[in-house]
Amino acid sequence: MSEVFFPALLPLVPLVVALAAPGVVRTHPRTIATTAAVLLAAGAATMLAGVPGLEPIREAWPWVPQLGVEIALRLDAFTAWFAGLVLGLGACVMLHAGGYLAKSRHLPGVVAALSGFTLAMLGVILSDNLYLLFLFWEATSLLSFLLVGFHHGKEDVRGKASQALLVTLAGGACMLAGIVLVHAHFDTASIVGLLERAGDGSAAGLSTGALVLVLLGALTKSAQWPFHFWLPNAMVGPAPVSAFLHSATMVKAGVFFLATLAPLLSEHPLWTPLVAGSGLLTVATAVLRGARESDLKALLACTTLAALGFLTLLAGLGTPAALLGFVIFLTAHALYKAPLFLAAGNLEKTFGTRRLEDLVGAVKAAPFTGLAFVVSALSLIGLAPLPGFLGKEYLLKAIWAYSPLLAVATALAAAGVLGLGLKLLLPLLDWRQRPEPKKALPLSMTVAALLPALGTLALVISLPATTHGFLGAAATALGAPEDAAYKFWHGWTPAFGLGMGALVLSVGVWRTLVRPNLAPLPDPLEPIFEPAFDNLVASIRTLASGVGRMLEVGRPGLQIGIMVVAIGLLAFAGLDAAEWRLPASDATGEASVWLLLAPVAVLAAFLAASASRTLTLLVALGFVGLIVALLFLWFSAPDLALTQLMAETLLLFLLAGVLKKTGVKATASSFSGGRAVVALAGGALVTMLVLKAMALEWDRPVSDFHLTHSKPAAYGANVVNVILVDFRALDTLGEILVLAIAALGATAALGAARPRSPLPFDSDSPWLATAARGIAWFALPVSLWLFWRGHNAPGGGFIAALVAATGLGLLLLVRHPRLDARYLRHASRRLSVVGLGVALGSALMPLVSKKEFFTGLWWHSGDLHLGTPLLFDLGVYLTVFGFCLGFLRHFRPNPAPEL
Amino acid sequence: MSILLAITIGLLVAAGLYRLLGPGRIDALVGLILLGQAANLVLFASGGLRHNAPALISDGMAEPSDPLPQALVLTAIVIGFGIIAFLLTLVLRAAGNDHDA
Repeated sequence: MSEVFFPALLPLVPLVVALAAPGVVRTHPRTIATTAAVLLAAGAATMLAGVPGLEPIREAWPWVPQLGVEIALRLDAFTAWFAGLVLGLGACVMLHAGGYLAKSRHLPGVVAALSGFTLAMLGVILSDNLYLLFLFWEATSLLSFLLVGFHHGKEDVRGKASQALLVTLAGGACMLAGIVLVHAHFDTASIVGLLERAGDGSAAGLSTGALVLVLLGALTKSAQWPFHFWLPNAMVGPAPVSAFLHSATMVKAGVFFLATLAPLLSEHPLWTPLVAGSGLLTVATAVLRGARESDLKALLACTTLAALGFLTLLAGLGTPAALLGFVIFLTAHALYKAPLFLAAGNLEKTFGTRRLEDLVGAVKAAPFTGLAFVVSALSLIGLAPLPGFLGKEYLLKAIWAYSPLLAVATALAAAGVLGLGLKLLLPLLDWRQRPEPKKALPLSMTVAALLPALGTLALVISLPATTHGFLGAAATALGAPEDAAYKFWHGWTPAFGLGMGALVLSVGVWRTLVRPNLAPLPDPLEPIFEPAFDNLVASIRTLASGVGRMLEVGRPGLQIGIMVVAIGLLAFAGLDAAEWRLPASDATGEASVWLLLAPVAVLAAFLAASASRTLTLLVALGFVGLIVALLFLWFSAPDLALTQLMAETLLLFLLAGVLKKTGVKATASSFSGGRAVVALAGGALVTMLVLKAMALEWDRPVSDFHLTHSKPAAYGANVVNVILVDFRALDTLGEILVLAIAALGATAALGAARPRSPLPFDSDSPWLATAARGIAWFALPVSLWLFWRGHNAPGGGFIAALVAATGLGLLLLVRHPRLDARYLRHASRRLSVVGLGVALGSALMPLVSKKEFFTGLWWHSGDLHLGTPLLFDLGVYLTVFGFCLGFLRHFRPNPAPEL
Repeated sequence: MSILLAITIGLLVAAGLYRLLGPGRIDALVGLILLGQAANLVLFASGGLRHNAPALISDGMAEPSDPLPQALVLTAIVIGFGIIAFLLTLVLRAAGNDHDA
C-alpha cells in the first residue's frame, strides 16, 4: 500500500486500544482521548500537507475478480482534502468526548465506535470500487446507530436510533441494487473508471430504475427530502457524536457520493430534477421546522438539513461551477457545524439546559465556548469574509449561471436559513443578562470547540495565499474547472446582489420568528413522511408477529409438515417430470436375494412407523438397519456394512435405554389420512428423484482420481478409508469435531454432576455379567485389529471405535468397580479432546518440514508403510470412542452403594 | 433392480415422514432414524450399484466399486448416529424436567 494512505489507518490505534484495554480508557479517559486526538490530528496534517500537487493515485488488490469486486483505493486532491477534514474534526470530537463522557462507563465503547466510524468514513471517501464503498457506507450506518443510541437505557432514544438505522439501511440496500445495475451498464465498478466515461453520453442510457436506486441510497444517507425526518431525531446522541455526524461524516457521505458521480450521472435527464428538487425541498422543510424549534441542538440539526439541501442542490446541477461551490460550501459547513455542536454540548454541560430562552446571554458567561459559537454562527449566516460567505457566494453564482429563476428561489431559501442562524446567535449574544453557570468545564472540551472555529479563521487568513494549492486543487479534482481558485470579491455580480438580498431578508425572517404572537408556518407535508415510515415499520412488525402466531401453535408436526411440503414442492418443480428416462436395466441377475429382502425392509419400516409398543418399535428399527447393512454388503461396500451394523447396534442400545429410563411410551397415534398422503407423496417424489439420478451417465473424475492414486500416493488398498483419512481428511476432521461438540452438548444438556436414576433392570444376573465381560474383552482386540488393517482392508478408525464402543456398552450393563460416573465422564472428555488433538497434530506435522497442511508424511520399511494418515485415523478412533462413551455412560446400572 | 431399490427407498421415506409428522414425543426421533436410512441409501445408490465388485484395489482385478459415495455414506452414518444420540439426550432431559416439575 502506498504510504499516502497510511494516515487513514491511524484511527485503528485508538480502536484497538479501546477494545483491548477498556479498563485503561475508563481510568484515564482524558489522557486516552487526548492521545487519540493528537494521533488523528497528525493524520489530518499529513493528509492535508499532501494535497498541493497531489497526482491522482489508484491502488487495487483483487478480491472477487469474477464479480468485479476489488479492494481499490484512490486518492486525489479532493479526497485527500476531505479525508483531512474528517481526521481533523475527528480529533476535535475525540478530544471533546474524553471530557464530555469522562464519567461514563461506556466511554471505551464510544472511543472504539468513534474510531471505527472515522475509519469507515475514510473508507467511503477513499474507496475506488463501488462495492467496497458500499461496505464502508453500511459500516457508517451501523456505527452511527451505536453512537446515536448511546443513551440506550431510554426507550425514546432506542426508537430514534433504530429509525435512523432503518432509513439508512433501507436506502443502502437500494443503493447496492443500483450499484449492480450501474456496474452492468458501464461495465466497470471503479469510480475512476466510471468518471472516465463522463462526457461520452453513455450515462444518458442508464435505466431510470438504476438511477433512482442509487439516489435512494445517497438521499436517505444525507437525510434529504422526503427522508429528512431521521436527522433531527438523531440528535438524541451525545454532543460530540452529533458534532461528528453533522459536520464531516455520515450525512456528508451521501452528498460526497452524489458530487463524486455528478460529472457522469448528471448527463442523465432525470438526475438534475430529482437531486436538485430534493435538495431545494429539504431546505424549505428545514426552515419551516427550524422556525418552531427552541432546542439548541434541534435548531442546529435543522440548519444541517438546510446545508445538506444546498449541497445536494449543487450536486444535482453537476456543472463545474456547481462543484466549485460544493467544495467550499462543504468545507465551510464542516468547519462551522462541528464547533456549533461541540459548543452546544459545552453550554448544555455548563448551564444544564439546551433551551434557547434559558441560554440568553450565555456567551458572556462562557466566553471561550461563546467565541467558538459566535465565529461559527457568523460563518453560518455568511458574514464576509468567513468561509460561509464564500460558500453562499459560489452557491448562488453557480445556480445563477444555470437558471436565474432557480437562483432567486435558492436565495429566498437561504434567507430562511440565515434567519434560523440569527435565531440561534442573537439570544446568546444578549449582554443584558447572563445565566448562572452550574458546572465548570474541563479545558479539553473548550479547546475542542475552539479548534475548528480557529480553523475557520485560519482558512480565511490563509485563503488568498493557499487557494490554488489546497481548496482550488481539491475542487479541480472533483470536477471544477482547471486551476480553480476562490476569491472574496467578484465584483457587483447578480450572485452578490442575491446574497446581500438574502442577508437583508433574513433579518426580516428573524424578526418574524421571534415575534411570539405569530405562530410559525406549519409544514404542510410534515405529517406525511415520518408517520408513513413509522407505520410501515409497525405494520411489518404486526405482519411478522401475526405469521408467527399463526404458525407457532405448539404442534411440531404441523411446522415440520409445512417445511416438508414446501421442500417437496420445490423438489417437484425442479424435477422436470416431463423429461423422463428409466435407468438402463442392469442385467446383473443377482437381484434374487434383494427381491426377498426389499419387502422385509419395507414391512419393517411400516411396522416402525405404526408401532405402538416399545419392543415392536425396537425390533422393527433393528430390522430396517440390518437389511440396509445387508444391502451395503451385497453391493460391494463392506466398510459401510460394518459401520451400519455397529451404529445400528449402538443406536438401538441408546434408544432402548432412553425409552426404558424415561418411561416414554412409543404410542403411535391413531391413523391420520393427511399424514399418510403427505408421507406417500414424499416417498413417491424421492423414488422419482432416485430413478432420475440413477439414469444419469456419470462421469467420475473424482472417483477415478481416488482409485488411481490411492495405492501409489497413499499406500492404501481400501480407497474408502484412504479418502476419509487422507484425500478428504479435512472433511473428516470437521466431522469428528461435530461429534465432539455433540458429546459436549449432551453433557451440557444432561448436567455433568446430577445423579442419574439407574436403569430399572436387574443387572446382577451372573449370565449377563459373564457374557458381557466376555464379549467386551473380545471386542477390544477385534477393534484394534480392525483399526490396524483399515488402510488396506475393510475397517478403519470409525468402524473400530464403534466396535469398541459396542463392547463397552455391554460392559456398562453390569456392575464394574472401576467404571464409575466420574471416571467415565472424564474418560469421555479426555478421549474426545486427545483424539481431536492427535488428528489436528497429524495435519499440522507436515508444516514442520515445510509441506502443506495435511500432506501425508510416510515412513517405509519393506511392505510396511506408516504415515501421518494412520495417526489421523487414530485421532478419529479416539474421538469417536470418546463420543460414544459420552452417551453410553448415562445408561449405567445402579452403582454399588457408596460407603 | 434399480427400480426396486428406488421404490424401497421411497417407501422408507414414506414411513419416516409419516412418523415424523406424528404428535408423540419420540415420533420425530423414529421418523428421523428412518429418513436417515433412506438418505444414506439415496447417496449410496447415486454411485451406481454393482454386485460382487472388489471393494479393495489390487493389481489385475476388475474395476472396484465407486469409493466416493461409500466414503460419504460412511461419515453420514456416523454423523446421523451422533444426531440421533444427541436427540435422545434431549428426550432424556425433557423427561427429567417433567419429573422435576
